[in-house]
Amino acid sequence: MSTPSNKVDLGSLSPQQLVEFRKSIDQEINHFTQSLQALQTAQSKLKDCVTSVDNLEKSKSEDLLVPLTSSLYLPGKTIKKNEYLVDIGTGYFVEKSAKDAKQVYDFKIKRLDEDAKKLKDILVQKNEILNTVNLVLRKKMIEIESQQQGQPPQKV
Amino acid sequence: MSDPRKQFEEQSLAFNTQQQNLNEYISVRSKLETQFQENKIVLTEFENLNDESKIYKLTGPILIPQEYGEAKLNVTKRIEFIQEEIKRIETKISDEEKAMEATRDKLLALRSNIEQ
Repeated sequence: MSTPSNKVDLGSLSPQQLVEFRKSIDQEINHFTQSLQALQTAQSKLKDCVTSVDNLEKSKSEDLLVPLTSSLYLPGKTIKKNEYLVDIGTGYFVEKSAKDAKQVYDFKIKRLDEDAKKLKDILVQKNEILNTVNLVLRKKMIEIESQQQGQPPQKV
Repeated sequence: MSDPRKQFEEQSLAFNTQQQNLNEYISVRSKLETQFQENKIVLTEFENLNDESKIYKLTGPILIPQEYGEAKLNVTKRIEFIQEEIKRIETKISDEEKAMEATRDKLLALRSNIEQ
């Protein structure tokens, strides 16, 4: 599953174990890369919300197009400006002013930024481990090959 | 004692089901974690609100107005509930891991038996 917390000398593992270990690291890296992408999409959606609020604030006219589907719109007018219904998660919506609404989104974006940074750190670490495992594995393979040829293993 | 080969098969089958269970538990665990995080964000949001805030709860296709106190209490309760669930599933996970360890030991013993 996850990387063992107790120290294991990679050199003491058999090639099969190393391959298994590499496989699980590969999986972890995949998983984390996907999570990172998900975070980034979520973030860009939140940024869209902020720009939408900004645009609405800037525009002087009350006219806007209400999307019924992604390709069907109705002309509409904003009756109350500066009153936004913000989805704060788990089905709760709160009425907020433009400033407060943006604050909610900015806060979430900041949080996602922090999480993304953590994820990136983990990914760097995992990649380092992967490289080390690959290195040890290659060394092992060379040792085994030289053993099979009847030569004493090279001490590296 | 029945045929060790048969026993081996039985045990490896058991091992597979245990593994499946474990994977299931782990996915449940990560879902709970997602909910937990989401609810925590909602709660911090509620901390910034007050009685004057107009809060709505999405119930099916409609938004129902809700009192601030009630909504906050709901979320707090839900977080408690999720925490309990996480504890429950974690004991399940560690139990299953122990069971898997035991089965693996049995499998190894059986294999060395068969090989002899």
